Amino acid sequence: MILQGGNILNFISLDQMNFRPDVMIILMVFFALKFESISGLIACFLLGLGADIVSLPMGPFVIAFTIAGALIANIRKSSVADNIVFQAILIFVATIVILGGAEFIKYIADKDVSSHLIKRIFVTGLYNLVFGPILLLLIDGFWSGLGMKKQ
Amino acid sequence: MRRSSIRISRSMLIVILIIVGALFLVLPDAMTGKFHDVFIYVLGPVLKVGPDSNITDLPGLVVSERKVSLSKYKELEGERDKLVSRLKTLQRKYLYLHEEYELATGTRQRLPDVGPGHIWAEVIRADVINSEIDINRGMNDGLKKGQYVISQDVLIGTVDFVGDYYAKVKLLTAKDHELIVEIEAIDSKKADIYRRAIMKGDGKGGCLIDGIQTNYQITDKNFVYAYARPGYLNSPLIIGKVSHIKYDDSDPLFWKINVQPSFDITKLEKVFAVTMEPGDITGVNN
Repeated sequence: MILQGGNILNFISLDQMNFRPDVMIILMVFFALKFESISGLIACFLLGLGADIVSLPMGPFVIAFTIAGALIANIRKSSVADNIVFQAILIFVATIVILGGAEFIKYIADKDVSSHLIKRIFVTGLYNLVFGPILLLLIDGFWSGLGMKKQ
Repeated sequence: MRRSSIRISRSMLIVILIIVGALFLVLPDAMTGKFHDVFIYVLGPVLKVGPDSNITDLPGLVVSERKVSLSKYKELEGERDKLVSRLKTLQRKYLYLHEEYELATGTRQRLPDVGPGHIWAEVIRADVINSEIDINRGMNDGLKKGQYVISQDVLIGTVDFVGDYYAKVKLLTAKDHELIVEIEAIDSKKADIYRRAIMKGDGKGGCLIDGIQTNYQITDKNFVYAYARPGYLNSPLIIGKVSHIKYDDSDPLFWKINVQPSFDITKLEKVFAVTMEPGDITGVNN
């Protein structure tokens, strides 16, 4: 949440629009692939809650993260789930779905919708595509270092 | 006894979590916004580590173009408060000037021609014992010694001392104040006239007129006017009424007349000075 809401990621931001990797989505993918179904869902829900606390209004990311986490959890046991290329593509698709879905939920709930929507969703998705696998490797290494295994 | 355990299926959990998310969505922003405020308040210093972004709609922060960061909001709030204070001052100034304008135009309509100019002033000090007031206009505003001062539609006194930014007005009731006046009277031919005389203050809140022969019929309630003296006043202006009349003890061929001015020193707030070109202060020899 500190990375997502703070200024640290501005060191690697792009363009005048300040495009940054969406760390919460990358983490969501990690937990959805790493944890068994129920734990993974709760972890995705909590990450969505954190994303909502960082940004306003509350609610859209909780719903979007939960749904995306549930969908990703269905493929966690497939053979390609550990493939880094697959994970990169998964992160890209998850970013598009989550950001787009959250904006759609805000739209139907009559809340303020972000500006430059399509550009932001795609550029963030591309940034996550590149940055995501690196972060996943780091988190995976850290997680393994803690003695935690994939459930 | 067997404990019954509640098992939640994955599908049910997804539905429950989505419902919780929807609940957050429908709750008022003022309520849910408190989570964000607490987050910013607690982790504010940590969040500020790093370069600031130049735009407000950061990915992840998801704000609309109408929203700004908290620090920017505080800055704008401070500027807004300054502008509101300035607006209040200007509004008060406008009302004050508008009031002056209304008084001036209203007075011009009610009174006879009082001359080419006037200056409005506020009474900053009233000395009841010495029958004088201080006003917030002075030499820099065009005041001069001897100018007539009017309030409540009557003449109240004359400018006695002028500083740069303030002046002393000696009221008609002051012990050493003298003024040429006209008093309503009926002469020996039964004609209504305005008998000219010199009125002096008695130092006790009233004025005295003497030197009018008793062949002039004067009663109490007769009006007394300031004489239309060239250079001071273009037309007569009311001062007060005769409150008491009797034969002068020292010379019964003359009246001793007490005059009650029509103003109340304790209620003097705004006055205006007739800014003509004064000559001799009493005009007795004119």
